[in-house]
Amino acid sequence: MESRSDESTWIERAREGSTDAFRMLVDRHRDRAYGLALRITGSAEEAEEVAQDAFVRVWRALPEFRGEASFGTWLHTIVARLALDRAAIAKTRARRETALEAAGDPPAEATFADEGDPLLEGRLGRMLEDLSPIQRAVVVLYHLEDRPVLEVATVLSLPENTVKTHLSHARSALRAAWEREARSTPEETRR
Amino acid sequence: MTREDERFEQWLDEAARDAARTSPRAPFGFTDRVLAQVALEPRTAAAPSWTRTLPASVGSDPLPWWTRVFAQPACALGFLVVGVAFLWRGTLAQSPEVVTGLVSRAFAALAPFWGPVVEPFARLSAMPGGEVCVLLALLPFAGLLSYGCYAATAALAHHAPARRIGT
Repeated sequence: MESRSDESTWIERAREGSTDAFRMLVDRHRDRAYGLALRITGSAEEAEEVAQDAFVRVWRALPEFRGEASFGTWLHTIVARLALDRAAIAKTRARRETALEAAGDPPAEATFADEGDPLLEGRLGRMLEDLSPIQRAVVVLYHLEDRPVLEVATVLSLPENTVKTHLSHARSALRAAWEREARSTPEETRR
Repeated sequence: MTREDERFEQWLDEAARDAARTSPRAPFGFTDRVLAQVALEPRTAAAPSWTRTLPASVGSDPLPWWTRVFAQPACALGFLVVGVAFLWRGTLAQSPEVVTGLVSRAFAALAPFWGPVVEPFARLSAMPGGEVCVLLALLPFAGLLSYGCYAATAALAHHAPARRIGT
């Protein structure tokens, strides 16, 4: 079983240019990095690009990595920033396409998971699709990854109070969706 | 908290736990693709270990470490101490013969050890106005020295074993 001290060794060796050590770091962190990107962008293709880009940036910046935060938190900060940027670009693009197609064919729903990728299983996954990317990121980091608010704020490079506000809005939206579903299928909700 | 609130919280906890269990996995060949990109990336040399304690907030990463180090509080404190010393002994800064005397004496004391290194400085300090140039040239070292002391102390404090209380 690989320990945290192994990781420190890999980081140190990767800093010195060892790609073998960097491979170990990628192997250890790829699933969580990819998962976070997927849950924010909503597209498997974009998530892979984001996660790959994040690892390449990490490689580039490793000589300057000072170990103030853990490697995982640092990586997730980069992944979240890139994924949110991608989501914002996708949203702008979708809005522009919608405006262009307004007079013609009905616009394609260029929203979360428009490729039909299996993102989050179950009802929570469906409900997350209706949240904004930043709200999704906050919910994923806080509820799914079980990180404290302070760490979520660090990963998203936001003030703690802003994270609390996003979390509160996200929870209200989830609550509303949950109540809507409860009214339509009450027996499922009671499970 | 109402019963509805409790039910929602319970549902959210369970749903989040389930979702976390079924976390997505990176696609096949992901690591190889990352490493293929990494192979094309140029690498810059790592900064010396004692600069790694620089807070992220100080300076931006694209700047070289020896530029960022001067924004450190310890460096600023070093400059402040030097500044206060000159203000306190104002005549030092104002009377060239005192400064020249100090610099010359310092170089004379160092000459047996670092002769070839201090000789050009000694020659420069003997020129009119040269002592000010030498002092300006040496000033960054006051900052680096201050930061070096701070980094060494911080490293000692960080690595000191935790003391047990009551045993």
